[in-house]
Amino acid sequence: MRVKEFLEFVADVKGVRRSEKRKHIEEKLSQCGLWEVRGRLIGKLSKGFRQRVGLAQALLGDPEILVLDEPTSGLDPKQIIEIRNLIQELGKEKTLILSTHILPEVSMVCDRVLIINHGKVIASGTTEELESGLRDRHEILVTIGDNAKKDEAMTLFTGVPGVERVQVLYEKEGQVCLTLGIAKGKDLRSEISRLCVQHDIPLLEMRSSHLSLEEIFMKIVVNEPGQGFK
Amino acid sequence: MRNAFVLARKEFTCFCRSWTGVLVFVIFYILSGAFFSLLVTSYARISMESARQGMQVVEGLGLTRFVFSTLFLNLSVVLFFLVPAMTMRSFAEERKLQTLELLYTYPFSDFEILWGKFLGLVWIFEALFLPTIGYLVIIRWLGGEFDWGPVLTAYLGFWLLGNAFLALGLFVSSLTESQVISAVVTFAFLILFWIMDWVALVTEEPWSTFFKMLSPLGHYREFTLGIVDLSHVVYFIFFHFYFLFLTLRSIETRNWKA
Repeated sequence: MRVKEFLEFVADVKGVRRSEKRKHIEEKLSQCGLWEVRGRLIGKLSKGFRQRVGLAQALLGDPEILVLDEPTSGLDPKQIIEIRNLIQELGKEKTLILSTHILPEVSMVCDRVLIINHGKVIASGTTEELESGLRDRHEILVTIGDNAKKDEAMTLFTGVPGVERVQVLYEKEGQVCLTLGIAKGKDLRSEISRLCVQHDIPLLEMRSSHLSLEEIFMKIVVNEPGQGFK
Repeated sequence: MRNAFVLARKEFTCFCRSWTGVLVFVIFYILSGAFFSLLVTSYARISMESARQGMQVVEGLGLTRFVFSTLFLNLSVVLFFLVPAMTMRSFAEERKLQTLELLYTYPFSDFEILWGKFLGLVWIFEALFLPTIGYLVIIRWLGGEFDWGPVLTAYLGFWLLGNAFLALGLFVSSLTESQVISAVVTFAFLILFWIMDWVALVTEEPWSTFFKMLSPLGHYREFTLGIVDLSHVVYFIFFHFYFLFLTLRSIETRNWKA
């Protein structure tokens, strides 16, 4: 069956009005990037395109909520990016529920995350909310380019109000990476960079560390009492 | 019901565009054309022979009886081969390609799916045999005379027989995800019904009546002779409903298989 014929069939099934049918289908075809392949047989299309046909048929009839189950599984990296962009595009107008095991995808695409374990919702919120609920302090990673100045830097940083702890993460090739534990709710990055400049410490890199969604997921699922394997 | 029509239309167009569909049409027309031309030429020869020998045309050897009754009996045998090919796609192929799940997500009831699929097959079957009306036109054009009555009942009988076979095939197709199994099992069932017709000839009463009543071909033969008995019509209606009902149940099992 050809792409366009299939969409016409679905439009009929979903009761799209005859007068609007053609326009409606053409709109979905171009929205999902299927315009060039509208006359091709679906069976002969690549997996990414077939996935888009699936998405296009789901979009027909303009449902308000779309439930997508693993929309990027089995696609190559380029197709994954295209489908993700499409999903983000759609998310501006519609409610999309995305069920997936690929967590980086969630942090890239989703506004809100629900973690379900053993049929129970055990966490819900934005990625930031989940993260801040999990840890009581915030961390900054600072890399300086001169290990002779390591001790000076450590005493300096410890002296900054709000810094609770300074640790050496690793030293390599003359560079030192420090982690600074900082009280919740403070951002001391500008303070630290100013100190480095004043004391002539070469600052190579500074970033506040985030938990990845994988780490959040593991912490939440493992911490959940009584939810171990049975 | 509108949904059933939408589905039937899709089934019809998909079948006609598939290679299986093209093959079914080509094979049917080649075979029916061969039967028809052979019957017409042999009828012409026989009637010429008898005219030369100064005999009256043998009674009961009318054009209608000789050409059309035989043609329709032969076509019913062709159905044994074509029906499995027509029905194997219905559910088995969709299950294999995993598009059946997709079909279930649309706002169709199970009943509408069943009717859509069945109606699609019936339309295909009608598109297959209705052009044979051209044979009637050819006979008239050649100057032949025939009885309209028996020809019409033969068409009615053929339609009922074909639809009954399709209902059977649809049921078998709904049980498996392999098209080959679907086709082979349907074929085996059809042959079984054919054999029943013979068994009726060699068994004693009351078994012979039992097998005769059970075989669709026995009922169909009466139609080709121009006899429309209510019992035959009722038989075919039951045959349809029996297998369509089983198909409906078979579609519904997905709800409790999960």
